[in-house]
Amino acid sequence: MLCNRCGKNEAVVFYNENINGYKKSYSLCSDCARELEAAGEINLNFTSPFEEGESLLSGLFESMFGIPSAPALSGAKRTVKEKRCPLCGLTIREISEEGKVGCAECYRSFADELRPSITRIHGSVHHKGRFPLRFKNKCEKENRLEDLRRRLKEAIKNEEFERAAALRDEIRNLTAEA
Amino acid sequence: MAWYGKKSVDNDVVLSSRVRLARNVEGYPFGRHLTDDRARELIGKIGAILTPSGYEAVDFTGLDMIGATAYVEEHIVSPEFAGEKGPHTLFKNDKKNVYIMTCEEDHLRIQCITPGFSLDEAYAGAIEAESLLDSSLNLAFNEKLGYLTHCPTNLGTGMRASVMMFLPAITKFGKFSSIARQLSKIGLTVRGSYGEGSGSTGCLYQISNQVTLGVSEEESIEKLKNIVASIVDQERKLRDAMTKDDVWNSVADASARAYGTLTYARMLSFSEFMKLWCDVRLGIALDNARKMNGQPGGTGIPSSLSYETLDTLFIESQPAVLTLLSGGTPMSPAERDLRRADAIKRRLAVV
Ligand SMILES: [Zn+2]
Ligand SMILES: [Zn+2]
Repeated sequence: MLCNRCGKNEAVVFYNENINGYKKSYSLCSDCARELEAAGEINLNFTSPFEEGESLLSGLFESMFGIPSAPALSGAKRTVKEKRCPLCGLTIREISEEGKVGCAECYRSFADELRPSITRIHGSVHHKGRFPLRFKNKCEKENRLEDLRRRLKEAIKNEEFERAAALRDEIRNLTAEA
Repeated sequence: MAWYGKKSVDNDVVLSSRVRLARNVEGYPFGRHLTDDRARELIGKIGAILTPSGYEAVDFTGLDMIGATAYVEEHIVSPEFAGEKGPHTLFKNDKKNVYIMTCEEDHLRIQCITPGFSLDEAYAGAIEAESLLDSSLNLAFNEKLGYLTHCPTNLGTGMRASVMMFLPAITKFGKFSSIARQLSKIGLTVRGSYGEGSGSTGCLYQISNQVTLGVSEEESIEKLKNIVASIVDQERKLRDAMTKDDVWNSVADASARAYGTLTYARMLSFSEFMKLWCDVRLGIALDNARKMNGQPGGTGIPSSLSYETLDTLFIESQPAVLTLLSGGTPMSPAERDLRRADAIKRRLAVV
């Protein structure tokens, strides 16, 4: 099924909302879902069906990844709105319990929550290396920018100001061509 | 012919090289979150790309335990994959060096296994298969985290490069634990396989990269290659030391006896076989070293016995492969021990 907003990508988020009789229903690709969420059009923070038992369970789930359980994250309120991954439906608590995510979308939905444990595992959160064909332009540009920035720093350090100015212009041009 | 039983570079110390790439497809949940229907749909999509390019599909859901275990013993699939309950299919290429597991922990585990010390070749093979899949599938990726994997430990390149090393001299001189400690400090993982912890001398070890995020594939492989090369050096130096007068007789005696038992035993368990195998393989290496150094005499193991023959015996002596080669009817352990000894005896008789 295709995303009913852009009509180009496969729909991965199926969103239904009913607020005071005002209904919204979308089938979205992950890009469109993120855009709509950023625009405040949809809210991907679903309410947990397990609200009641939550406070009892909290603390049991200090996981191998050291991610605090959801109540701790939200200030240990008795009722918690737990965020769920729009594709697989997992919460960060379930992910940290299992030590594994439920789908690729989890890494986007819980980017902030997962970052500390990923840094702990790898010592880095910046991929270096191969990329899929469809990321060619994006990744090559990013690599080129990184290289230019490094050379700019070097030029400034060596007080080669003419070279630094040229490099700065090149970086500007590259960033401008979106 | 699979990865074993072929002439290859540095195979006195390195049995095989392997590169494995973990990949996933956008839109499909991972692991147990993937329903059987969607798993079958995904395997169908993958098969539609691989089959026209000469890959053969092996549906593991329809495979019996012996058949599935034989693939584990040949080091082609993981034990987890063989034991998987849901739909899971192995794709193998006609050159028999690329093996793609689908719906293991990740949707795709693309591996290339090559004989001897040949990590570049293994990497090239894995990349070729991956590019083929990348051209038709939306592989899950983001610029920051790289390839998105079920377990965060594989994020980034999703690559595990490894070598299987034969290190009897390092083990016998008690140097292995200090090497293992150094390796773990620089981000490499070591696993002993066969005989480790069973009281007998382990001699096979798997060494692989640990970190996958923030280090490129080439950097990882370069680092592993350098370390492996220096371990190869150490192992050879210690083997040289074993050819010296004060230890030579006892070492040569162990190898000669092991060869004698392999040729004359009527029953052999796999663990006894592995211990003898280590001593015989070391004997071949020592004979070669003595020849190179111009030292007279040898262990008495025929010089026509090659590493390739021995390595084939190692694979074919494991329970499931042995059962398949004997017709596939399940056997009792005692029957297998008889069959194993017999198969080895015949093989060594034609050397
Ligand atoms: Zn869309
Ligand atoms: Zn998810």
